[in-house]
Amino acid sequence: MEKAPITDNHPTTLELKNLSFSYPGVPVFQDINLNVQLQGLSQVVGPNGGGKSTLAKLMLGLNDPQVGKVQVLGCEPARAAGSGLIGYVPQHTLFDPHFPIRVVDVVLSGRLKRAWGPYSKEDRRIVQETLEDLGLQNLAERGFSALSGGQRQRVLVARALVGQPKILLLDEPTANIDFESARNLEAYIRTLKDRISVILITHDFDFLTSSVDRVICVNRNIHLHESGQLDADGLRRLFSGHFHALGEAGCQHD
Amino acid sequence: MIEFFQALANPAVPFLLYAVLAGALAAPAFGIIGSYVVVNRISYLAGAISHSVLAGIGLSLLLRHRFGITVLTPFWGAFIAAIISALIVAWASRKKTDRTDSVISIVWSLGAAIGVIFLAWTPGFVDPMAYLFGNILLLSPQDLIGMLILDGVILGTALLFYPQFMAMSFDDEFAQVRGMPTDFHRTLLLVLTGATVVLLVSTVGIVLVITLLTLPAAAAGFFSRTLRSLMIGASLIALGVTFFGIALSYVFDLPSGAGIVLCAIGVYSLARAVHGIGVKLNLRSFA
Repeated sequence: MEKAPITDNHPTTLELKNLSFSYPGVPVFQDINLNVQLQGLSQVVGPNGGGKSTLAKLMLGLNDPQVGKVQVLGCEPARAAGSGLIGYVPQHTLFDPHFPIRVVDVVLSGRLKRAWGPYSKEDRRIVQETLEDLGLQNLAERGFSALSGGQRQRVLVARALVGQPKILLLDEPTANIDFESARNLEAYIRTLKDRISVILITHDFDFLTSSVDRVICVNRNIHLHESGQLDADGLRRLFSGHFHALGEAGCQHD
Repeated sequence: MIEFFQALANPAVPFLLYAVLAGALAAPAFGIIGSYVVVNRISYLAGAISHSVLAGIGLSLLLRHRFGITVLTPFWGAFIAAIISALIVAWASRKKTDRTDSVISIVWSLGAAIGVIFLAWTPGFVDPMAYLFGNILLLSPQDLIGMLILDGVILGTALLFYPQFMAMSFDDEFAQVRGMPTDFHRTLLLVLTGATVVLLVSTVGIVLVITLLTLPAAAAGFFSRTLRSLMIGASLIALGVTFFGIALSYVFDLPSGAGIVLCAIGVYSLARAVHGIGVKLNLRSFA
């Protein structure tokens, strides 16, 4: 097992080599190869059940492929995520609405490093700064369950960012939140993508169309479209044209 | 009620004082572990662990009365059975297959069945009622020392792992992504639950354990925004219901476990009602 040190100049890459993955009785990916530079904003699109979330779990080391391998930032996914290099933002709707926990405690959990013991002063300082950066400092002592959907999603973004990741992976961040919160979140993500690589899983095709650097189309297969290879028209066609049919017909790649 | 306080101070009946001390000692463990059990929604796992401790109690009594082996007291017999069943339940719930429920039901009933068989093989008459429904008035000073040790271990561990347990309870997938050994944490939490169940069995008995483990936390949950306040509230409620339950059972000559459980249900119902009224008033003022 290779144990290359994780340094600042690691390439921000995602690499899938001969990857096959299936849930018991349900094949998802077969013999996939992909090598992608993740600088800027990458958008992962595809129909439900096509494998978007499975790809995310493979990248985070939550799922292990049966065949082949996944490398993120040049190392194993679980290791990259465990060192905080991949920040993960799940959907806010997945949480128990009655769980008694303050916003600051949710965000602090993004600093978990050791298997036991309390958070450090530095952990608390970084959490405080990140809360201010996201305009959440006034909500720090509030209960997570008392927040609106948009606020919860921002808290989950803060939790992912306090690990100081090189890649931020967001799963449907604007689903089930109101229009204005969604636009605010989009604006914030735009400011992030110059600092860190952002991967956005979405079926919202209007999202960030102007600033996306590449589109990764996932439907039992994975295709990469660099926006440099597409002019503005091509990008628009990609979204308005063949992806609109995704929900019903699936990805229309050959 | 005055006679109860008089009896408490009377050195001729030390068992009453022991009972109140035991309740006070165990209350923080009930409140803290009970809070984790409630927010993780694993009371049926705690139920399985509690019923399996009868096997350990039965084994201890069998060894003592049939073979003259007295090393294993019922308290530590219960402890060993609780730890073994906690490990089995942790393993089964980790797999998350269709069979998880079946394995937990097996732990639940197999432990109880083995315990009843051991008790049947024990010569002389053993009243299982004290173990099934508890009799806090039967506690010896040795039991109190055992409870104190167990209580200290439970509280120390729960505090040491507080941030990790909270993160795992809220979002175990994220904790796993952050590189936390969530399987280990979950198993440890179930082992602590098992140890707490042993404390509870001394107090209210096997059948009534779930009530004293979950109702104080559920009642405090109506008014808690943080896990810490939930734990403090649940501990205070556990302390209160244990004390008043013992007093109630002394004054009206009731079984102590039943008295404690009735108090716990009363407090839970009251908390629910007060919460419900609060919500209604709030809604009206917003309208």
